Amino acid sequence: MSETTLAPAAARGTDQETAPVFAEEARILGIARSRWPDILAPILVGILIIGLWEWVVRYKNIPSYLFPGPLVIAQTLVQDWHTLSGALWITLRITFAALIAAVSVGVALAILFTQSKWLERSLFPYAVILQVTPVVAIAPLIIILAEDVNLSLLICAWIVAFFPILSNTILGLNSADHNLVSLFQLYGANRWQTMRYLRLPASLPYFLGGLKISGGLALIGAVVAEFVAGSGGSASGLAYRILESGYQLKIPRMFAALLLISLSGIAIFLATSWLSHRLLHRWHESALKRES
Amino acid sequence: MALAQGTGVDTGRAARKPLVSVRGLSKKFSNGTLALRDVDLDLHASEFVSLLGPSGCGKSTLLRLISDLSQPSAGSIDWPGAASADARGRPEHSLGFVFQEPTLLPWAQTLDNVTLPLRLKKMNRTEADQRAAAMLELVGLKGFEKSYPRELSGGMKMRVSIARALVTEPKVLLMDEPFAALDEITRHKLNDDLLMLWQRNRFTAVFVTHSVFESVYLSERIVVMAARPGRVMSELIVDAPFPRDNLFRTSPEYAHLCRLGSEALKKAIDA
Repeated sequence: MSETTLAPAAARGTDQETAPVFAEEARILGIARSRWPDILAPILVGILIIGLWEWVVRYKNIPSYLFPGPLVIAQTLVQDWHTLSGALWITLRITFAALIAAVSVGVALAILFTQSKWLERSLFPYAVILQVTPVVAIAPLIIILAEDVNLSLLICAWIVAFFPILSNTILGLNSADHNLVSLFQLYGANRWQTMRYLRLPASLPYFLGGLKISGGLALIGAVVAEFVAGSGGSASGLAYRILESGYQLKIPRMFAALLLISLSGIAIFLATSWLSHRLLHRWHESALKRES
Repeated sequence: MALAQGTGVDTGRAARKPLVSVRGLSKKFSNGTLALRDVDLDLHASEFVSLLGPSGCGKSTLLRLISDLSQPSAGSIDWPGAASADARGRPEHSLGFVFQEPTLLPWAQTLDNVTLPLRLKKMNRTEADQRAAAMLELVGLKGFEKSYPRELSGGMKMRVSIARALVTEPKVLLMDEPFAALDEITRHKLNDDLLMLWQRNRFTAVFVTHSVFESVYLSERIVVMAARPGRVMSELIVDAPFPRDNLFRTSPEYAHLCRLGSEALKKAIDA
């Protein structure tokens, strides 16, 4: 039995010694050792699948206008980078604008709803209607009604993305510990103080959960809306490039555009996960590792 | 209906004006449960009172009523001994509340948890931090200012909770079974520290518990309550001198008082 001194000098009595210890894990390239399998395993699977794909395409002599191999797709990505990067930029711009709008409107409405039961009663059902109506079905309508194409795409992506934020934030704002609410009442805290110091922080894990879902949905919404708008010939994002390549039988380019959409989705997921971890890792159960 | 059953009533205290005076207090919940019936209780400045009773006797309800978190169905709570009062007739900054759970903000560091009541009163940050740091030192948590609640043990979290309740220097500290979830060793330590704080700051302590031993060790006066409906059954005066320590805990006098307490509690449970 060795004596360990983890507690600062003030520790005395018995209860301090039972405090949980959070040891720093060894890091390789700035990433904790136990995280490496999470990163390496999927990469390994990816390399295997791509290798197999390339091999099947070559072995069976499948022409690239039917089913291109990964190498041809990579070549196309480099060759057509100018066109594709422009399209990527347009799609990402709409995705992020929609996500920002979803966050602002979702959080603002959630706060309003928790302040007034009447507002929630009268408006929440309409938020549900927006959510359950398939965006493909209303996209043509929105594209006709909105003068500007970009604006109509933005509206479509926003409709898809905003509900998870709204519903999760409402849940989070209402999930503050009841005794803490009593405590705030005891100290005469006003609404704003209770919101600022209690409800908003308490809702953060829920909001971030909603953000993770909405990030992906904003991209999906933007792409779906582009498809609808693209079939009318009036868009220039990645989905439009996919449609266009399909018509022109430029199948490798179609795959390259698809790859960019997937990578964007993964990047958005990683970014929201990283943000969530940054904001929660010191205090929330979901972000803490259990020692078994 | 309070029945003094003690080993010597302190007449000096009875003559003083009480700090809080509870008269004919009843509380009926919306589901029809009568949580409290016709409770009379005086709290004097700087005394240590325990509310002892089985679960469901309305001890916690009584605390919530005194702290104005809940409104009585009948009866009154007055603060005749208060020097200054706010709009609701309650002396300002006068209450501290410790819940059964530590009830800390999980996203805030220890120091920020303790400064919370001061920040809500719009005290400036530097002064609030200084007072909170002093309070943390007093409860034995110097050096843990930057720790998050997650990183503290159960006993330490409760110390933070007590520090937060005392940082406003309240006249009355209400505690709702604060140590019930802790192990016995930690509980004894916290009992001793609580008495130390009480003797130092001279607040009025109201301590809800269902442990006879804890109530006898801590209090000057034990109010025994019965359940269904919640009511005051009897009172027990514990006139052992302070400071109390392990010597008191093992003395025949303590054992005797615990027996009296247990009998009173048994009567309340059987009633």
